[in-house]
Amino acid sequence: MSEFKSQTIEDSANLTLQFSGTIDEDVEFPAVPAGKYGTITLDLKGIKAINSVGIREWLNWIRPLAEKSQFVLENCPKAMVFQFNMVEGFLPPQARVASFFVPFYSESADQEENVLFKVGQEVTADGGTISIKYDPKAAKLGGVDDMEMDVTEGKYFQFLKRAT
Amino acid sequence: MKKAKVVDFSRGEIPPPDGKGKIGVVEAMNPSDVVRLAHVSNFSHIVQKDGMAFENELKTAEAMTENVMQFLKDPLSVIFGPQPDDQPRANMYVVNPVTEKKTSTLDKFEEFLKSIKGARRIREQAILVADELYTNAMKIGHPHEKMSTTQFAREGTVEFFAEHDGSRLVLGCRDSFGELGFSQVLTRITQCFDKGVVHSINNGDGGAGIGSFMVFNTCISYYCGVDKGRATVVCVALPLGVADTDLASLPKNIHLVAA
Repeated sequence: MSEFKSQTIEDSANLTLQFSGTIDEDVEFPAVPAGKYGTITLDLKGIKAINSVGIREWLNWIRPLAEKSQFVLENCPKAMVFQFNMVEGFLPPQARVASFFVPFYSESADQEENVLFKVGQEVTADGGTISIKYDPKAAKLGGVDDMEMDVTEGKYFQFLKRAT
Repeated sequence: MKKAKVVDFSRGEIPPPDGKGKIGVVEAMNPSDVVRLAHVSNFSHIVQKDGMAFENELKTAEAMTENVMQFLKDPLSVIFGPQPDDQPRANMYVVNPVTEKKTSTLDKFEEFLKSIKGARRIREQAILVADELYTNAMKIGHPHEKMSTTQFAREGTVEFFAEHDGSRLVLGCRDSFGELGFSQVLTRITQCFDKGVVHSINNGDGGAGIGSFMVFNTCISYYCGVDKGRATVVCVALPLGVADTDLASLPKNIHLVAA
């Protein structure tokens, strides 16, 4: 569990925020003027965990901003994907998930790998149909040939049906 | 010692007017109805016939009712039975003053999880549950301030414990305050099922009011004991080796006992 941190990369019309650590009661999201940026990209790769108070703080921060800017979420870890699926409204309607991590596991090697799925490349969502275009064997993932997706496909990818 | 009465709803048995101290056995009941039934019937336990480790859950329910103090003192031995001498179950135990930050305990728990085969699939959820349980216990010790300050904190302790038997992981917290109200917890969980999480969030000071739902939604068994003014124990069981995304749909049991 580590302290929440945010780094800002700004150009004229767009803003990128890199978040890391834990989103909980101690989180302090950066102050962003609503409507100043056309697109706000959140890089969530470093997020380790989120709790119930963190969910409230996230919603209070992102909802007013998402009314005036387009949100793009990148490198979403499993802890965030879990909330996308469990908490209806966690992803504002104006937010788009560009990429997220999918866990794979090899029983024989007892090895875990997290693969970044880019929406439109490794996975596509056409209305209610999700198509996986990633083959761990062909990719020689982890150097073993029995890597399998370690989540229930129909449930883990559910958020894509409403967030692409 | 009170003997627990079992009422098998799945066989059409008629529930008595007061369910306090009684065990309700149900089958294929969805999670929201389990909470509603516990709330409305006042049954101390709702146990699912088709749930994981049904026989064990029934025994745990009986043991919790028959000896509440033993559950409050040593919940893991009531849930799993006594530690075997030859192959003791792996566990962890931490006791902190309520002013201690949760970070180091949660870090230890994360390390403990790494040592458990089959826990990788529920890692994020287990950490979430541990965080919620620990934060809730701490909140009671900080009634008038943010938990990052300690000026007005009450004196008390938070104990965190976890143990597994290869198929189930049980983790929980005991605080030294004994202030948890069952009705309030059940109301909050039901509200999240009925209105959705986002519409159930408390935007005032303190907790978000959705933590109990998140814990219940993630677990297969929710165990709670209160000795008013002295101790609260809240712990849950998570299945090992089950895909994380299936947790919400697994049959759930609930156990609520007061000294």
